[in-house]
Amino acid sequence: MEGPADILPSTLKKSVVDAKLLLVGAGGIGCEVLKNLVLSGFKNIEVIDLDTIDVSNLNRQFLFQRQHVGKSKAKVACEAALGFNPSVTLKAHHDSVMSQEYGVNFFKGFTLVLNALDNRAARNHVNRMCLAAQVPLVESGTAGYLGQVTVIKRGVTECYECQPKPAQKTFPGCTIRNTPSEPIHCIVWAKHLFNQLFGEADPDEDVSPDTADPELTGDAAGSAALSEPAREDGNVERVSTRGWAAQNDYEPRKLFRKLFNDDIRYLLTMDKLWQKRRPPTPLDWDTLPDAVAGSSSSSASDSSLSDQRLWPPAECAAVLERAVGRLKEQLAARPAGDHLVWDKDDENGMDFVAACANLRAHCFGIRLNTRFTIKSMAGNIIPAIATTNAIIAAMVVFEAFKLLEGRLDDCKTVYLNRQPNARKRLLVPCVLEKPNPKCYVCAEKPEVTVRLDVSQMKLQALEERVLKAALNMVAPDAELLDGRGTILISSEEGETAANAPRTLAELGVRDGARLRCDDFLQNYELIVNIVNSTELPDGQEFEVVGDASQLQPAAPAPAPADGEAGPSSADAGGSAAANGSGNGAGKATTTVDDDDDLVCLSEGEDGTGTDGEVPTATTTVGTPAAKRPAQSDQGTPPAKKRRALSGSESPEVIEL
Amino acid sequence: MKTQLGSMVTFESGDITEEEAALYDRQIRLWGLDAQKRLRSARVLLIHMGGLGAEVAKNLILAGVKSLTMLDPNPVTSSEASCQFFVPAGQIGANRAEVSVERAQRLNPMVSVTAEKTPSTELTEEQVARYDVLVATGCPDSELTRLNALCRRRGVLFLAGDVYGFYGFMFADLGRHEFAEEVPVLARPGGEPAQKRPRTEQPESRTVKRTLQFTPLEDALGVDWNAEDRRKTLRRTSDVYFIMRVLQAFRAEEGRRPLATSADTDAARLLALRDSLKGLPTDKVGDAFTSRCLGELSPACAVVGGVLAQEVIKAVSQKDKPLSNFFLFDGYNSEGVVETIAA
Repeated sequence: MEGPADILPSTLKKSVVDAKLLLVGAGGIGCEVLKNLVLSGFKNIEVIDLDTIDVSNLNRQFLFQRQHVGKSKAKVACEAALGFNPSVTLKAHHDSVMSQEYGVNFFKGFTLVLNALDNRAARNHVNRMCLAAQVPLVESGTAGYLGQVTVIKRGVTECYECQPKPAQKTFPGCTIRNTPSEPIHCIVWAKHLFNQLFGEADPDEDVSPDTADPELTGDAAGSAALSEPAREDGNVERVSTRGWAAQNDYEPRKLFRKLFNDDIRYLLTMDKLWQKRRPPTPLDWDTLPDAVAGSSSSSASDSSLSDQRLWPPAECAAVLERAVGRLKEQLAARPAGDHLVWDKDDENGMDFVAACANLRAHCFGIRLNTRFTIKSMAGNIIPAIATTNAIIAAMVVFEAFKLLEGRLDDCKTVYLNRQPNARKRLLVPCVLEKPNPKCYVCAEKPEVTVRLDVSQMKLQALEERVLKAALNMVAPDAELLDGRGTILISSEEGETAANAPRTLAELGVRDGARLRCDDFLQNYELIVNIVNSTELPDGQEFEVVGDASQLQPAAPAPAPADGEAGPSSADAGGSAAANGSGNGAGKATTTVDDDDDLVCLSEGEDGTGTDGEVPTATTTVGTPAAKRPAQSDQGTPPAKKRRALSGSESPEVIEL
Repeated sequence: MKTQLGSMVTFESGDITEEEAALYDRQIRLWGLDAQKRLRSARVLLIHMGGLGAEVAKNLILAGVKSLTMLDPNPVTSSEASCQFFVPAGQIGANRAEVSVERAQRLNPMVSVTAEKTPSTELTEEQVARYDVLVATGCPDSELTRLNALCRRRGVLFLAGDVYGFYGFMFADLGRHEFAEEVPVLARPGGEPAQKRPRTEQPESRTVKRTLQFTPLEDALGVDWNAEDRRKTLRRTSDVYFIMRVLQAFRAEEGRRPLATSADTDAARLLALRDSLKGLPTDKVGDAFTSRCLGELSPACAVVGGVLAQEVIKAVSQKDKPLSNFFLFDGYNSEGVVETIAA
């Protein structure tokens, strides 16, 4: 019987026709992969995606049209693909791949798993499931003009978590609350303000002046406090921002005066902050400029799109007034105790953040940005186009072919460049790395060390922020290895609920304690070593260290190559690199395989955010540069050559 | 007389509308409003709606060109089932361009998508001149060079490509092409204090105007690889280029691509051609390619179609350095390189 697979070499044809594939994600890469699979002769494919279709998807997710907006991506993609070849068996799951339903046995039912995801948490999870099920995984990602594909096979290659991924960039609270110097600080502040007023209030997202700023000595804090009657706890803030706003009926001008005048005046009393910095200027509603200083008819301003025009401060105030009114109504329409969730695509929420960020910037003499640009930064938007996704999706299928043909040795990590490198390559294939023997996910007996303060951290925080958020477990159990089999956390509902609010110290966890943690679904067991520490860098709550030897002060990381685009905050995610010229990231090391003349440049990732990625607690897991040499058994080339290959000639890596 | 895209295209005078801004949001954030406007003025003639043609069409329609004309006199055959996603099932025998219009148009109602059944060989200079870009797929060399010459005379951007199984190529002749390039500005020693230059912002870059002179396909095809001065570059030139020469020769002789239904005889013919082709350096083309060059493999169409379409987008928007002048792809070995081949 003739079919698309007929054009394949005989060594490949049968395994393609017989293969059962799981495609995780039906978005930009997923649509293209599905099309390739169906047209290449695959007969049995399951597709899973929790998302629904949005207008902004339509410039590249070509299986969807306008009439599909709001519907399940997995379902519509399968329907469309069926039209390319009605004899294929396609099954859609409108579901999260992280749900308990999809256990190891589910994954074991597939010949290969292909990821087409856009966030780290899901990638970590699928990585673990495929390791547990021993099913090869093809991983991929794109951002703008760049993309990459790689293959993960347990015991043979690195897993997704073998190399520490850089932590999401966060900013110290005092920078956000007291001394912003860049637009991103103002944007993060504005998002926090939204949550304080309308969303889920988080004590870590205070927007009022921070009297605990480490730059202030006792004297300065004291003198500032004297200008306000003190409360019992020494804190000058009397009521929560939300409480204050509600008391004042969310009146926009009152809000404006408090945030952009009163609070700014308060900051000015903290003299130490302004000895070397430009002090902020309190704003007055009636005297706001209605033109933007220094702006001329630049390319952005010849657009009639309001999004792309710089709003002068007076206009920001007007937008703020309108947005606050509407958000207040939205909140009032909710059941009591409920709150709003900020969404970049919610017009009022976006207007609010843009207006507030710009007003704050105006206070501090920081340049203003258009709503369009602010949306990118606040909303963590990764620009995306059809062509990059089409190319990377195709390379995913070519790796799948190699696996099915039994050519594991030929599998590669492939990078898509924007311009050919020095060796004329637009697609740069790199030899796959061997597993990290100390990987805390795929090593024989994974272990990790966590530094925290046992007298401060509550068990609930350990479960939520360490085990789940930082270590990517979904439903963990944790046993204290104290010789008595003490169960600290049970994934069964209610069994250990009484322990949750107690500190670790109260539960008998001391410096040097070992916890055996495991996630039944991921078939993943991890020993967590606790190191008690009362002084963590940057005021972090905890620090995950991959290898105990990393507790020694790390060697300073190599200087970034020219053109490194720094990452932005956890909240505002997004990456400068993703907006415009994709620049290569920092540290570059090379492995030269002389046999097939293949040069692979593995670069330190520059921490690009991904659409919808959940900010995680700050983690530092040693320095990637320190780990690399342990892996390369090829011998590193002389430093001189290494430098010559970095910078513009290296494949630009986007973070998977 | 048109000499370059910028001077000959009448821009749609209107700004990008709110509707366009919403649809094209994710790509405007990459290449900017100006590039999107230029795309919106581009009229594209696409020759042959095989697997590669479908990929190029999809990408350009999604990008938001002004119009895409699909030109193809050929009927749908069973081969299309393995590469052409615009053709509904059960349309064997119908005209390939005509049946593709409906699904292609649905990708983006803002683009004008039409079909033509004229053989490309009948295209005149006047007809070609009505377009800004001509993309020729699935044509023998003689037809490619003919179309290239017509395009050159009228300042039309010329791109060509083909896919044979796992292999594919793209060629571009953009004439004398002007474009803008972002060049990073390196920090001077003792530069501005950190306060003034925020570190987390994009590194500063400036826009530079560049010009690149392309050569016609005929030039590249005329290269004598056996000449003494060529032999040095030969070693570093991709084998795929020479595999393509053999496959194009097959197409010229047999009037078709190698097919699964005649795999054995086609393989024999390909090896014979390889051994007899004048000017083809020996030992650049092994035997293995004969089992990997049948039909049009969908992912190979996707790679070549993706690269080709992105080159059209760059050329039309005059933004970023174009690939000059060949892109060569081998999906079996994950090879994708750019070669500059000219007399």
